[in-house]
Amino acid sequence: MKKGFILTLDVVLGTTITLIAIAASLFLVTRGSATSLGDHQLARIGSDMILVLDGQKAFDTFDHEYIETKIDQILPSHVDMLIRVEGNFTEGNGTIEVGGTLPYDKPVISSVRVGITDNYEYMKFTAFVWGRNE
Amino acid sequence: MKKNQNKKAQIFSIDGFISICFCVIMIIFVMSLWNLYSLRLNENIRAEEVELLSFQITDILAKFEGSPPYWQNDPENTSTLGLNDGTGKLDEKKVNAFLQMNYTSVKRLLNIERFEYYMEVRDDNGNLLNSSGMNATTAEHKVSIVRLSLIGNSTRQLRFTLWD
Repeated sequence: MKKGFILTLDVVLGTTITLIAIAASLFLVTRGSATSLGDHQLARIGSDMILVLDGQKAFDTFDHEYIETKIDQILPSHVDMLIRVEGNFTEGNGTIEVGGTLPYDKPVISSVRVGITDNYEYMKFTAFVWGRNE
Repeated sequence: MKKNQNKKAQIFSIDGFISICFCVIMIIFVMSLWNLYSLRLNENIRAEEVELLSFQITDILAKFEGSPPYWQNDPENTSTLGLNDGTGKLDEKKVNAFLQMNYTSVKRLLNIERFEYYMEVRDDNGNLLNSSGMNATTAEHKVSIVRLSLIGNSTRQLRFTLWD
């Protein structure tokens, strides 16, 4: 009688573990990529912002206030961003940052573009974008 | 003695019956679990297809000139749609031609006959300037992508919505 009981417990335990393993693997398979639609959208907004600001020659001024005003004008209200410009220029020892403060409590998506100035010098633009609290 | 034999047989039957019941319950459980995950997987595949198509379409429209390069002059003979003017900005004539094109022709050129779309052009204050397509009312899957670009020196928001 006791042997039978131990065997049943064994089977129940084995079946439970098997079912958990099947459920976990199915869940992981169906979940797919961890990157969400919102992350892709933020990356594109960052990339588009650099393109638009560069097209409007906003970076040529190196004027923080002007660039920040342009960012506020163009950026959709539900997102915030920081733009880092790196290059061979004297302002800020070759690195300037304009925009909001990077948050520590929410995911930040970054995108990088490389441009060339009228004097044929390379500049690297990094856009950090994150969702703004509604 | 006869009584004992009967009892043994009865115990065996109950044992077998319980194990068969348990087995049937387990099979039903696993099959319904499998069915549930299959449904969810199909749902995810469909939703991801709409997302992927939306990103691809907005990328193509924003980054490429289309084919032929001046397709806006003869939209009926367009082979590929694109709204870029070749300098990274949007071509206003192409945008207007796209918005005035036949709805079915646009879906055929973008290879989205199975879906519906809605396109809006807004200024940097969010004011609607122009739109085309069918606005989603009761969509099962609906994805809206916003792209920022320039027409001349003015900022424009392109909002492309794909739904089914």
